[in-house]
Amino acid sequence: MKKNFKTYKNNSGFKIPSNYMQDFEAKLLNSLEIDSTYSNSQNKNGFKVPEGYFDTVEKEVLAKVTASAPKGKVIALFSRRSIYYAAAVAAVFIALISTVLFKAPDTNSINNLEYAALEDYFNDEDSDLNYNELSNLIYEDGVIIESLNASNFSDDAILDYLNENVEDSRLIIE
Amino acid sequence: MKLEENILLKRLQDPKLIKQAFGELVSLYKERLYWHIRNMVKDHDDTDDILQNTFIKIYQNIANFKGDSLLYSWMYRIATNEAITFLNSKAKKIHLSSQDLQDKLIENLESDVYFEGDEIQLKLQKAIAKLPQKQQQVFNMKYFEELKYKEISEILGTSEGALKASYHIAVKKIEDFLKTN
Repeated sequence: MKKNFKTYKNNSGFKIPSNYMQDFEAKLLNSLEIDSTYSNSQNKNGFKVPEGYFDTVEKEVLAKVTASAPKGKVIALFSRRSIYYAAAVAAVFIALISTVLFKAPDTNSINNLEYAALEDYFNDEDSDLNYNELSNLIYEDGVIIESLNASNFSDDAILDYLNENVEDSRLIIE
Repeated sequence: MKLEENILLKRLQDPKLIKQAFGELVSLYKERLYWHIRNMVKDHDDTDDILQNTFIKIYQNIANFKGDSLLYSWMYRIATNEAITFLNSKAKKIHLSSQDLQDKLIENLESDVYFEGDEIQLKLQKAIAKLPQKQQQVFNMKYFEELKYKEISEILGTSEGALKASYHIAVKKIEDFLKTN
């Protein structure tokens, strides 16, 4: 390695700043790193990231993912399927008995709830769904349910809906 | 890019290779997705939470990814959904409308240690906050994240023509805001 140090004879008179060669590699790698990422957006929008954040976040994500991964196959003592069958049979018996013997008054059922009340419930801030719970609602059986967007509905479908649900026809025309 | 993505996807969907492939995926996309989310939610700590959730969702759902869209656009959509869900949830929690929340986020920037923008950059953020959500997304993705219309179209599922119109309107509104404020 040392042999290669003096391959270029510095007799041209040109000078380079001290430490230039040492800093060059770091600067080059640094600039390549910036080019390979989208960090330039940082300059435009004024946002800053804590130093070393991108290294730590990668480790954190990988640790979380590894922790959430299944560690081995667990064989149940009882077959889940037979438990489901037993539960289903029991449920049918209970349903039969309860409908024949006990005829409950027809109040407080889901059918009696008005749509407006249901809408109020879900719009109400007291429905204690936090960000993570709401986030989980977006995914069903591993499939992302796209956020509802009115632009996905055709004009005909919107008009049909309005015709059925809006009494004042002037609103539809508007 | 498409070929590389397909190879990576195949490895991600192979239980034996997923761990290593996922590490590469995180390394490849962490910064892009970070800035995508940060432009939407503004705050670093919130972005950190959402970014981690995004990658966990990607990991949990990658086996079911059918390849109907490109992998990166699928990941961007997850990040976008996560950020929107977070913002809606935050607005509800502190009893604010989404517009009021946007104003509050910008207000917070003035004292945010992780915002070092000058007066013009702050004004630009204020102008963006006044835009409707979809226009904000298009503007951020085009101007800050420097994505191509084709890429934005794949992520947002909107035609390139509509995106160009949306970006044009957004720029016009921002210009008007900057002139009058």
